[in-house]
Amino acid sequence: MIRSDTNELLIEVRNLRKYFPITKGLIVQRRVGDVKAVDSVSFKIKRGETLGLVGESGCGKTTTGRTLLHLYQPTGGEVFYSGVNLEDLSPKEMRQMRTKLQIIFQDPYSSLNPRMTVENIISEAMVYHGIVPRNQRRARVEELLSMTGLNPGYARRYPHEFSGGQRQRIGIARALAMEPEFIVCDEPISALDVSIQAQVVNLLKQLQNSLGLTYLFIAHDLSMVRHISDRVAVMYLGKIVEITSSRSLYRNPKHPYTQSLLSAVPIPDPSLEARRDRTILEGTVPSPSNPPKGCNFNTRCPVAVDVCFQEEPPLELCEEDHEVACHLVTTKNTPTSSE
Amino acid sequence: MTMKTSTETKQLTTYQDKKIESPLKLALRRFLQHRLAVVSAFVLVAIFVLCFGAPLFTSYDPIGMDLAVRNQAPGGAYIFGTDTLGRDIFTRTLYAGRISLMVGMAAAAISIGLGIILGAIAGYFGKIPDMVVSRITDVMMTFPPLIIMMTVAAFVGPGLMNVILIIGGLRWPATTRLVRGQFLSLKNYEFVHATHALGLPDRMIITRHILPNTLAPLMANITFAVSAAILSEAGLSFLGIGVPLPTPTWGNMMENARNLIILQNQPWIWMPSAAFTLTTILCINFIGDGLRDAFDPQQLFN
Repeated sequence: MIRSDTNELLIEVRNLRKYFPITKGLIVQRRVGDVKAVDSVSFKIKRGETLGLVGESGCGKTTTGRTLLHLYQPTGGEVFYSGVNLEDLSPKEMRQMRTKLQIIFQDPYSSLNPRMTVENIISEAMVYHGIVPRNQRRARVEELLSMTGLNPGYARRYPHEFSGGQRQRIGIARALAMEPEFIVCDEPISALDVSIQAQVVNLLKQLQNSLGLTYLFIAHDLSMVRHISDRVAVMYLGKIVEITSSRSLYRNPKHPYTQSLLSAVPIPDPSLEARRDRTILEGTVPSPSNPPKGCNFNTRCPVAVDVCFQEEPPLELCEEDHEVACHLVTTKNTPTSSE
Repeated sequence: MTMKTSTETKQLTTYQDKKIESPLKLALRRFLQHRLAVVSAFVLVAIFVLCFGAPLFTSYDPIGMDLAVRNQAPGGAYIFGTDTLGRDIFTRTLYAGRISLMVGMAAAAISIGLGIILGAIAGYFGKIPDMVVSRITDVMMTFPPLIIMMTVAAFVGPGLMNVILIIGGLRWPATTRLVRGQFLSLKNYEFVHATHALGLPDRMIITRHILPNTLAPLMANITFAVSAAILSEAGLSFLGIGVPLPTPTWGNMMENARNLIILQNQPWIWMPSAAFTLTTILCINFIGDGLRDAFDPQQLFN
């Protein structure tokens, strides 16, 4: 793997927040509350690294990815790309900057414009930004198609002629056309068949090696995330509860939520699978418009104590390169899963 | 193993051999399967050829009177007979068709154009532009169309241009709403998010990505706008505030039916224009149905 030795920081996110307002009133709209989709999220990604972002549906993973790219205007917080604060850029500079920051979408069916040929889908923006001169457009498109494992002859076809996996590859080619350094992979495999998932993940890994890309890989499938990520962040209700290297997360999960998530991963061995202990979470995720007082997880936590209902635990370093937001961990009372 | 490779090569060859089907070709193919719409298209083309090629089919003057042959019943030298001033009804019906169809298309073009521009602005930018456009649309839609058209026509006076502007200027709210709704829903598709991520400017996102995908419902709306405009023109001319005489239109030819004697005893004077109007409207509406089905966007998203 290409890893820069400088440990250069490519992406830094500081206290990123995205609240969606809940409004009432027909003509004069009053703000009656907020859906706190992303609530003070901070993390760093080094060049060439993959940060996995996991969590259950509705926890704000996708919103985090899109707010990071300023596809949604952040409510607060900062995003630095190579030391540049994206907030400081003018709309025109931001459009230029977007070539460096790309995204691969979840749904391969709605992410391609059905009325454009594959060639136009891939090349429109690169011609607009002047990345490739107009007369070399076809050659570059064909090159990108072969890079993503598609037949270069597909350039003149339309999206409706392709399968989900092929469409996802077209989406990847569209992102690569901008010659980006950083790509948000927004659940790029969850809409695909299992047999295709591995192909796409391996393609992403291979492209990372050859082009030195940096990924934020959003997913809810823990085993896929382990396969591709160097470090993993676990999200719950708009906040990061644990962030560490993927090795230490899977070996030594600290947060009770991470522990229960990992206990849900099936083991590919029927006898072990039958005997393993599972922590099954009770209840459902509270509404992000009305999160509980104290720790967000206290309504479902099997080991919650009094302080969890009073104070919000900060994300703190508990071991080298291992941050956890849990009162019980940071006060050295490592929680035991309910057995 | 062998099975896998054979299916792979098979898939490869089918992709190589298959003709490229653009969404437009696909829509055309499905339109041609819609029998009623295809028949309607033929009839409508025939009507257009008859009207715009009128001098080829008749040698009479649509305006010049010949008092010697007043009120002739159909047959003989005059296929559809003559009117109270001795003008050939067939000739007048064809020349009237030119005006009626032209008014219909021009007025529809104005209303669709306005509707697309305003709907796109409201739907894409939201917030204040949306508020302004939507409220104006709401107010416009509360007016009974015929009454407001009559009022405005009474103010600006009759005339071809005025009729076109009045009809075109009053029908856009329906299109605006449709386009706005389409923009609101398409704005949340991932391919539109992708255009933002690619750093494309609003102008390109609207015209190249969102607008082409509103084509399906818009097609039907365009055809219905044409037929509604033709009907509105007929209504205005029937009431005598549309295109002024002696220029024939289907509407002012039907106006003759307001005379009880003509209505009861000389049906050939008003029936041809009525029949042409009816046939044209039906054909346009059937074509609209066919186009709407043919352009079904759902077909393209899976």
